[in-house]
Amino acid sequence: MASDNAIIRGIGQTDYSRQSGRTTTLLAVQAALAAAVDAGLDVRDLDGVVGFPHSVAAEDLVSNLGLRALRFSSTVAMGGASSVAAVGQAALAVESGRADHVLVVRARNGNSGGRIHQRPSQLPAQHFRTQLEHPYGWNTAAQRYAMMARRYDYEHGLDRQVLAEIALAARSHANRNPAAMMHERELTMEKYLAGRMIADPYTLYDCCLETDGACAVIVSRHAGPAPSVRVLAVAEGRPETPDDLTNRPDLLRIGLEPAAREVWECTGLGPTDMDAAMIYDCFTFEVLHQLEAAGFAPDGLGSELVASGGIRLGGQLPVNTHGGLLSEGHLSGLNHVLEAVRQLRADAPGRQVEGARHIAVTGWGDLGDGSMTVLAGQGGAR
Amino acid sequence: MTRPLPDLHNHEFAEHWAGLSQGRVRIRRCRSCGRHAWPPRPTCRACFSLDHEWVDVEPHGTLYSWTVVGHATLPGFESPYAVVLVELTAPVGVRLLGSYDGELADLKIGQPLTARPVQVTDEVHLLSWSHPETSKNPDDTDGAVATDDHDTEVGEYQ
Ligand SMILES: [Zn+2]
Repeated sequence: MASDNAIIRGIGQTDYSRQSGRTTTLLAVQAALAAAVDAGLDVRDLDGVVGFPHSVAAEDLVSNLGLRALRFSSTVAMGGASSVAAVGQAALAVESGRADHVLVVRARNGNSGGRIHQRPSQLPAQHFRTQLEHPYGWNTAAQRYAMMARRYDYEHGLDRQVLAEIALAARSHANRNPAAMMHERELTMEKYLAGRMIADPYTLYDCCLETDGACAVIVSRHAGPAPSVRVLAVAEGRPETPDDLTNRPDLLRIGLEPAAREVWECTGLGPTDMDAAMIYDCFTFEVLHQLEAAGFAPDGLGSELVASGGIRLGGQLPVNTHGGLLSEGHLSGLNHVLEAVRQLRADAPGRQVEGARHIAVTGWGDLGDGSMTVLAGQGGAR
Repeated sequence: MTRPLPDLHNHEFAEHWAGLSQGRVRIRRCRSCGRHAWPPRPTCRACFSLDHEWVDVEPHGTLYSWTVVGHATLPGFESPYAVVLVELTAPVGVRLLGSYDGELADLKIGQPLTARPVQVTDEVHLLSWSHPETSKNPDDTDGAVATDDHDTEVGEYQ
């Protein structure tokens, strides 16, 4: 969907930690209040909420934020692709007039609230998971996506040095971001290579963090006090069999492909117009895979972009300048939207991409669902 | 806690598990267009028919992809163990997930593998894939998979 009038007016977040000591409702309230201040709005005037399944509900927010007239709410269930898709729903709501100021909020106790494999699964087609996959010991995201990475290796070649560079680039960016969980923790190649095996080819440092915290975004039609960041387009896409990986005709064709195609078409922009990209980095290989699926590199050739230093600050396409899910924290990729906004406002001290006008943000979730948006700052396309 | 096991009474998959306990690998086929389907869904992905039957397939194929789990999170599994995804020789394109009985270093995509049902409880048999030369003797107790060659028409999957 091309968007003509939607603006990201405010952003807010809590601290990111391993143990928040707070409920997800309180985390959501804190992030929402910060976003309202940033947007120059009375939080009670927010009249739309887009949230995530099994998390803080619109009803919780009405009571806890004192929302006076909530007119629009929705929940997006695309796993990690939900954050970008949620910004799309918020944009739809403000452009159609269903609401004036829509809050997108993601709050989680992703570390202290139970490790990932202990949480109730939100994947589609649960009977395939529990009946056909768990009995063979195939039950985590790392294990599922490892199967895609191994297949990619067979078809195109996948060098461990390339996966390492994705992890190291993310960490070097986090080392410049005081809000990142890994801000003060350096990652060396030696340490990366010593990481224990999680699910071949993923070792410890190929895997994202688990995080307590919250992020919030407010989408409106008019800018507030902060420099305006326009939502040029948002799209979501699904692979051929979004309920199953095992018999997908081509395991490597993912939902981001059609989503990216739609975004490029709607905006008239292309990969080379992007000054940076925030790529959903649940694991290192997924960054490489999505760089190709979104068109930043030809199929099978993303390794060249990565190995040349191209995804680092100062490179051809800086990726995840905040450190991403790998090294900033896992806020389901809503933190990627926040970083794109900061960069486009020229408000990323210590890691600013100079003159950034357009940034693409991707989402990846469940069994290969995808989403993408292009955001524009001052001097960007209209 | 014991390892996760399939619910043998779940009617979506009961025929598959019953087949394994009889030494046969059974999957779904559309009665309308003849395409094989796995995993089983209410509708055929090719012609959207709701009319299906269960048929035997030969448990031979090639390794399509794999992972070795180094960090097990399920009860009853000890790291490292492999999970393999095998593309059947026929019907073309159908892939079955399974466990792997072999050297982890021998996991190479494209290599031929053969499956046999392995008994894991009194009632439950699961699929285990191994390299043909090291496959257990088909005369062994529960090792053999029937190889009826009734399935001569090789339908293009999906
Ligand atoms: Zn059919």
